[in-house]
Amino acid sequence: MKKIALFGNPNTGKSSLFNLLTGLNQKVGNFSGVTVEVKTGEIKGAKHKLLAYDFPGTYSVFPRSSEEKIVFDVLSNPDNEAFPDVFVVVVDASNLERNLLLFDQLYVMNLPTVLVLNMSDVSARAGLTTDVEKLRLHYPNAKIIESNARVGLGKDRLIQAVDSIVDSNLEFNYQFPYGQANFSENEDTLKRRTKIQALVGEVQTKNIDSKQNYFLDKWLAHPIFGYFFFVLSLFVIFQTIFNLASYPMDWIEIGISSLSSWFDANLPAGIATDLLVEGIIPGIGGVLVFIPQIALLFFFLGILEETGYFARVIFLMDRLMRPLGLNGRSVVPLISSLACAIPGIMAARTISNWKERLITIFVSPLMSCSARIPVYTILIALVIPDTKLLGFISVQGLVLLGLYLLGLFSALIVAFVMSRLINSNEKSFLMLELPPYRGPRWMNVVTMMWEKTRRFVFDAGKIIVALSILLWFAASYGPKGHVSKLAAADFGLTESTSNNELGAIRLENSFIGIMGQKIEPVIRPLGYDWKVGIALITSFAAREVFVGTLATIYSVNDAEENEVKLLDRMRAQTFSDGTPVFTLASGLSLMVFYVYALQCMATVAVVKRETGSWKWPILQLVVMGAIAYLGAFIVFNLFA
Amino acid sequence: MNKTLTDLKVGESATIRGLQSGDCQNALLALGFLQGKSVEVTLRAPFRGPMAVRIGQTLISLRLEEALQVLIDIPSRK
Repeated sequence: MKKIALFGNPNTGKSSLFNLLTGLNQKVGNFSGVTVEVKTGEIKGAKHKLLAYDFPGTYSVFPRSSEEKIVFDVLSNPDNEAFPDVFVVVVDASNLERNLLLFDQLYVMNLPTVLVLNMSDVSARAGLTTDVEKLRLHYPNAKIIESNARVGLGKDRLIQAVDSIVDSNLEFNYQFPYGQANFSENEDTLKRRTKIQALVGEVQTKNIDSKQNYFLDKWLAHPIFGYFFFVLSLFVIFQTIFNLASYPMDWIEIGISSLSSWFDANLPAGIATDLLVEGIIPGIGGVLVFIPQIALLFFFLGILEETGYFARVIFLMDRLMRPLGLNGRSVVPLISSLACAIPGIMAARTISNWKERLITIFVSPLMSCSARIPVYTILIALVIPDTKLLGFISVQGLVLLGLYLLGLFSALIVAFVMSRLINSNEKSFLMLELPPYRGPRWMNVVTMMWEKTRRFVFDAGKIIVALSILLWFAASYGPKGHVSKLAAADFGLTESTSNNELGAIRLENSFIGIMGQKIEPVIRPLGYDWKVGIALITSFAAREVFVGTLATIYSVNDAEENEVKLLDRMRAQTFSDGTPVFTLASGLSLMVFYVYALQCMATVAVVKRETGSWKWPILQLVVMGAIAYLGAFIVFNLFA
Repeated sequence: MNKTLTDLKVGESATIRGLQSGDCQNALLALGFLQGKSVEVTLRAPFRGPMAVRIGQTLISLRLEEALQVLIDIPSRK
């Protein structure tokens, strides 16, 4: 298996070419200790077995961000597991002068290199002709080909070129001049720049004078209207997501619950069936149900990125984010976190400054993710009256909006506080290319959507399913053994006790029921009883488990089908002194608790991986937990 | 007078005279900020936010402190 590395500046169509070569059959490469995204995939249609690596876009071998550093790290170490056998450098033929720097730097490393002059159509439209033969004279050891990855041209030529390099099996004399002592990056870059400037003047001729058009930027990046368009586009996107996603989400819920009932009815009764029906299948269902929202959000984010609009958003937001210790680039992770904090936290990799990246990671889980929606929905339905203000503004809708805004503003405040507490002398950069606006390449949009969704399913999914199984165990077993084996008589009750009541009593005597009762003194000041305590514990698998747990505790067989029944049961709950558990005060207190608490083990695991230590996720867990507790306490006492 | 990119208003152009040494010198070189190149300011974000300049075919946004490193010659106005 030969390793083929794709390098190039951002916005050269490098990833399009990679998608073209590998199709959807891609993986995110694992480099030990590095949290940088390098996609790998086998090249289809090649003679040899070729594994392509898509390295992050970079303007030079000298790194500015942790993303770009991977390029330097791999190139400087021939023993690196990802050290390529063949370099493919993708350049934008319409912007040869800037793009050739990276190629020139790699060329002198004396390894088999293919130069891909991409975007031949853009180049032609700009009135440029490139004399490839002349270019070959300057770089005799490289294979040079032309391509237009956008429309699928050049793929075969590239595969042929790589195949023939592998065939020739030549010895190369690796050199890496960049890491040595008293090497001056600036001197080297300036020398190459001067050389390239002359070279491009020689090989490229400009036939027509193209005038660029900044009409769209006049509006989309306008000092006032720009922000208006940004908020409007987010509004439209989230409206569309919530409306569209509700259909597949319903299908998934129905499918999962009928699958559970089918297994329950058709498999022999026993622990294995219980584990499957009550632990594994609902756990998988809890993962699947979020796929529509997450996939749709990344579909739209993919379009915004592909069209070049995101770069404008970063440009506009940078100044507003900086006093908060964030960066214009923090906007994308924060928006992604509205679907799920996991892809959001990973999107923070594009932020070069460690402190800004850390703060972005730290506050991302405060953005209200999809898993909070079912919790908010049931609590709002329970304690907020379904009335309209001024005849048309739904009070319930206002409360939901309020919870989202509470999360957003809390994220900004926490970011501000952190930026004061963390000292860092590291410089923060923006320097960002604003690519020309263009229609999205759908292949890239779909690939991105696929990749991010898959990451949620695997990263969060395995933890959610594992915890679901653990919770099933804790809810099915108690000190006296398997609780469902216990009959009414074991609890000193008569045989006339109904099955539902028996179920609730069994739960009370399970490990998890005992845990709930143990923590009751702690959560009593927030207005919760031990049953809510159980739901708080189970929420650590994923927040939406709250709803399913309450349904189990209150013996409603199917939460989705019987929301009305669940609401009735919840309303009927009382403390031992007869006062109701769910009041406006305790309901609002719970909502505030769910806005803040980091009840998501998958997020904890991802933060650990991304920051490289347990320090940050634990601090995050403690800080968010403390805010949640205090906030819920204050709200409960304000409304009680 | 040492004029820098930040002295330009939207729509104005100038020629790059050089780069002041600083943290982003190499990155600016890599992006193509070279002596003799002409630059045009196309956008400025509000509240002294970043500016966008066109250099060759590319539009690049820079924070003001990054733009301060780019020294320019402003052609004399008629």
